[in-house]
Amino acid sequence: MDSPVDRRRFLAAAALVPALSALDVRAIPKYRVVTRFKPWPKPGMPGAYPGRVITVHSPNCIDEATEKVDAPTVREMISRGMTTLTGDRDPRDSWARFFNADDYVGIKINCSGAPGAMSMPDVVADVIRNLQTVGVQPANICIHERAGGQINQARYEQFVPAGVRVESGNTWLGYDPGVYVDVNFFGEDDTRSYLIRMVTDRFTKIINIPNMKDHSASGVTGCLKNISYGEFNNVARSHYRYKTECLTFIGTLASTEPIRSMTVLNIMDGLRGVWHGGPFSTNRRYRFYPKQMKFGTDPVAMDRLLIDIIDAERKRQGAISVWNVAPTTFGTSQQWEQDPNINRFVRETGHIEYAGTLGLGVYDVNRIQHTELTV
Amino acid sequence: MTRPATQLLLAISCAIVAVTPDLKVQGSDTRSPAPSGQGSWKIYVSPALPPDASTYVDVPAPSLQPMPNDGYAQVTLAPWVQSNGWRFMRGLQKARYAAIPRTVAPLAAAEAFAFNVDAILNPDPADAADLGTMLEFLKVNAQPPMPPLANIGIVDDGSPAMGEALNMLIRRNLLYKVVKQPERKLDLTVEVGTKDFPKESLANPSDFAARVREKLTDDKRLVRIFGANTVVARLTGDGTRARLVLVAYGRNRTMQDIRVTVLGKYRPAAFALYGAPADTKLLDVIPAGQFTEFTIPRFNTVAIVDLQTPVRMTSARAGRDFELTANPRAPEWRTAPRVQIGTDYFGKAIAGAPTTVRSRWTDKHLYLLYECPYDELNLRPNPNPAAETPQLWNNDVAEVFVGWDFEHIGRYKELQVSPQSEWVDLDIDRDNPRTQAGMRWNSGYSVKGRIDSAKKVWYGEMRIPFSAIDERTTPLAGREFRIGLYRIAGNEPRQFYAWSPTGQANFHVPAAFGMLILR
Repeated sequence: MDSPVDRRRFLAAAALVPALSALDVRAIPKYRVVTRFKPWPKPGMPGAYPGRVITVHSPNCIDEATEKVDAPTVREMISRGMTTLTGDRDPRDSWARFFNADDYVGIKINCSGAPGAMSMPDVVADVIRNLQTVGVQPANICIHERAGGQINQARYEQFVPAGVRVESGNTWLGYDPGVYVDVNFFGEDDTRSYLIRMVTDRFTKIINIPNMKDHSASGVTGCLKNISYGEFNNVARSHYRYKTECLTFIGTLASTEPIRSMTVLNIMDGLRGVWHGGPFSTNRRYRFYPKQMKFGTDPVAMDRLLIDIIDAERKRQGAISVWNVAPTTFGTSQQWEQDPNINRFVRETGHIEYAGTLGLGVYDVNRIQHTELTV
Repeated sequence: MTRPATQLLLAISCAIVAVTPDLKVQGSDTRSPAPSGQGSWKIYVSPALPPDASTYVDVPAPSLQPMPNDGYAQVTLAPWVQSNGWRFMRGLQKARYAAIPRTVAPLAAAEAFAFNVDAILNPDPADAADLGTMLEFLKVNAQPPMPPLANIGIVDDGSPAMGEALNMLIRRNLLYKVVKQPERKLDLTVEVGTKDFPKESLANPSDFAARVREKLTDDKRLVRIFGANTVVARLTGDGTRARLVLVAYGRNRTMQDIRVTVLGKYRPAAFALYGAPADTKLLDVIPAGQFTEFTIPRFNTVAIVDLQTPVRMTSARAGRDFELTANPRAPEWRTAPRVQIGTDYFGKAIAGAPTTVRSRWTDKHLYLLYECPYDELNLRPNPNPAAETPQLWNNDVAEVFVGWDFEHIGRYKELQVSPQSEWVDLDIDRDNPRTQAGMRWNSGYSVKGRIDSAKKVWYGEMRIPFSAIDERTTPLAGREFRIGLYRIAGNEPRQFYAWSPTGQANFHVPAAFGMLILR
């Protein structure tokens, strides 16, 4: 907090803001979901294993000093994670439960903080190796992100076989005018968020590979936010001054077809994480190293466990909880970047629980079957 | 400037007939040609001035101002567009852009064009080439003006505060006209001092515009733009045609993939995008309920889209189902409503007598009768009307594409009849080609073909069960279908008749379908 004047000005302004508490009961925005796609008989989310989360730890997966990833260890983590998730002995059998040679697989990575915070290329590369073991052709695999500039910084193409596409909504096919969520949050004129068209035109399945990050608006960003804000455009409009509509928007987008049906597997890359300043945090001071990966089909259960990981690290660092939305915590973006005890939005960590109410997964931690392994 | 000034001046003067530009650059001067051309709109480039130059009113240059950020998160704030549209809507018809910063002259010209006002431009000399290119573009695309389309009436008290409000309505693309008193035909009249719009509501133009939008509702907005918040729309029309002009005020004025909705059922008939490659197309044109939607790909500064209402055909109710005769003199067909097809899929006239299509309907069936004059027939040997004929379209054939789902226009049925009573019917789903049934689908329709060699006319009649083409309940008078009527005729060169031209060498352009109304 570098300016008491600024702080006073904020507090004066805050008094005028009607919703400065997560406890505020407010109406769910009036969403209009437009899609030509019907849900699959068994949608990918929560999928075949609702409530089941497999966490694989490894102290050797990443070198904290150099941030170099140990690829063989990652390979072992993914094999153990997948076989434990499905109960198969051979990883190929595990992958074959989800994918076959006829699939065109979109890999939704997260690189909004690249290169310091992103889905690690080594993780993505091993996922692709596994897809190939069940017959998915490199030409039928597309690593993708909504925004164009970010994905270029991650250099995925250097880690994956020739033929695998690395694309964004800006570089390939654009957006599908027939699949969007229409909602007016704050009086904005552009009320539509369109789904990127490669999902509707090309993909048959999606693997969601988020990483572990704090998020100034949504509290944390994991599976749900990656597959929603990361696949639809015009989503920043859900944040306005101190308010945000992440609470319901994330789940609504994630449950829009074909995203909900097509996202059949979530692999959360927790080799490296961000405990403050997310999602774009470039300040290494806020990075930490959970050294784990989570596997599941249930994004709600996985994100529920993510809350505890981020919050625990914040606590360890002496920062306020992701649940803390007290008016006294608010400041400017600059102050928030410098001080982990400052909020810039009313964080809506509750978006995960809300997504659970939409049928996307299990939020109650007592009902989550969490298996932890170490390799 | 890369070209000698004199050469440039000549280029511009020759190019612009309709808009009468005249440009003095580095001391050169030329005389304005007399204003002429298709539009009433005229632009004079200073120092060449019209005789009534003194009646022109100074206006500021159009611009974009970023919103100041006070440091708090404000990711959704739109930059501030400085458009003169509100001045023009208030009645200003002659504008002098006296001080135009570098690079802005083409935008000023586009703005004046969009609002059909006469303008004097005083550009930065360095903009001569860009302005010339823009004026050339505008000249080519000028047309006689049509009335502005608006469904909001604003009772203007002439106050500066009202001016700010009008400005905001322009920026928000809430299309209005200034009225002296409420007009019943309008969806909304805004009169400050009333219950809905108290005097205090003018204090904040943004809130005022939001209030207007709320009262009108988005469902009644004539134009909406998705993917940009620095584009101002101007819509004119005459009931059967409309012209949409979009002016981009953004920083470099380049826009990418703007999605546009226009209230009304239209089909794009022509478009022109400044700064776009010649092969650019409007994308994803679909009717969506009461709206027409399309995507405008990359353009710079100004986009012009001409829209037409779809062609319409009525089908008259018949008292009962009837036998197929393929005879236009049969009682059922003598007085049936009809349309004629005399153009190909590009809209180019086809020589000779047109094809005529009649239609009747009953509770169970839709009937169509094609009357097809010909010079030469392209028939299959050994026709087999008892079975479906694959690739029937390689010979003489009459076709109907018909769909009922206005939200998913890529889903429709294709049914064909040949002069020899051959047939093929297909289920089409252009949204999901992998799941469409194609020829596996069977409508259960009946056909009859007949050739009158003496008159060189062949006839093709179809009786199509509504249950095969419409998932709704029993057909009722007033029900509408999306329909395309086509015919392929003769040997090389084959003729491809299209009732509503598709603009492509392809019949399968559902956005170009016309309408069939049961009467």
